Amino acid sequence: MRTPDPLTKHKQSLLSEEQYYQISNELDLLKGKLKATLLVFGDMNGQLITHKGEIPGIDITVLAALIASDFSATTEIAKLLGKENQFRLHFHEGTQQHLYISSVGEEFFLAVVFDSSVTLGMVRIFTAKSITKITRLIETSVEKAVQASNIVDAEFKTFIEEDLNKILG
Amino acid sequence: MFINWALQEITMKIVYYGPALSGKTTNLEYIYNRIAPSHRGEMVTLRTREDRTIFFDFMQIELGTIGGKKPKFSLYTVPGQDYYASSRKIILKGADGIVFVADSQWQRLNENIESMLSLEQNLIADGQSLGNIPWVLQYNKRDLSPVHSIATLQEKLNFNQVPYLEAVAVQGKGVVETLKTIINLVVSDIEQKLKIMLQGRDKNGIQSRKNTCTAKID
Repeated sequence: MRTPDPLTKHKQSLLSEEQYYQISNELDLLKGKLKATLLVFGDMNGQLITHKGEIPGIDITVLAALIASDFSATTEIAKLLGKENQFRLHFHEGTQQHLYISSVGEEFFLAVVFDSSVTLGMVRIFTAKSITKITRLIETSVEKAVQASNIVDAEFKTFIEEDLNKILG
Repeated sequence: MFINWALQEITMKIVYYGPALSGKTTNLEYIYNRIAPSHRGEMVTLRTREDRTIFFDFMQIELGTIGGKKPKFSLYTVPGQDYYASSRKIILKGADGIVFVADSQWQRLNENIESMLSLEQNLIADGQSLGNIPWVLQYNKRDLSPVHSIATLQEKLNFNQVPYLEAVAVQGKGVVETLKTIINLVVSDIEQKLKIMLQGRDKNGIQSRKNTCTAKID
């Protein structure tokens, strides 16, 4: 009998190096096609995984946390409506900048910030294609070279304690 | 928790939970002001006009690189009021550790208990429970009067015998200690889970070497 992995209870708490770089490449291509201001890829728990582009003065870690919460909040709305478990995409239209957010599988999201020079139709088509590819990358069972025994050990704990003492006093 | 192997980033999520006005946001504000900007991101606070948390407060702490690994801690608070039950459920999703901020004041005991029960219900809905997630209790507002004795609060709230700390968050007392305690518990818990994962893989005939384990993640 297989021992369950506590770390993978929430499906994807691990992203391999190969997966990361393949996703990153796909996002580079998408950004180029859309001439988007910013792409944000994160998980539904609010963790930023990667982003392409910058907006001066914007903390993208905070943005990812807000987007994930926005998604979760509308998931609750979907449940209240009774027919949907989750809305798959959200679109926020601004005067100059727009935000298009789509789920990637059940555990991730992709957000695209773009300006009025790009049509929504373009964003929908190209983003959908990229999401199909990324979903396949994520869902494929992957053999990962995991340096697990080197990740969180006694030494790591000691360093964390020391570093916390340094920054918190 | 999320591990990005390519960047060697390990991000852990800690949620401050508790009844309305118990001092969750005050904890985060103190931490934010205490840490140099180079080690933390912006703090976002979504508040109503009455200065109450409507959705959550959020900030991220970044420690230095440790042997090539970059640990990060995302700190969240939940809104305490009854009518934000859905928000609390959302923010708890994927939490690696919890700080329960209890209000020590005599008249707030029932709110503490009700909040603890809602925490347990929300954790169960997310496939966890107070019996298996790392958490600590912070007895806040110890400077006010009248407050319950620690013995009474322990008896009524700490049925899991988790670590507890006394605090006066507005003065910063106990805030840093609470954070250090929960981080220590979370890291130990993850270390333990990784060990179980490795053992499970070994039992299933997947080879592991001294430093590298090839694990199949479904």
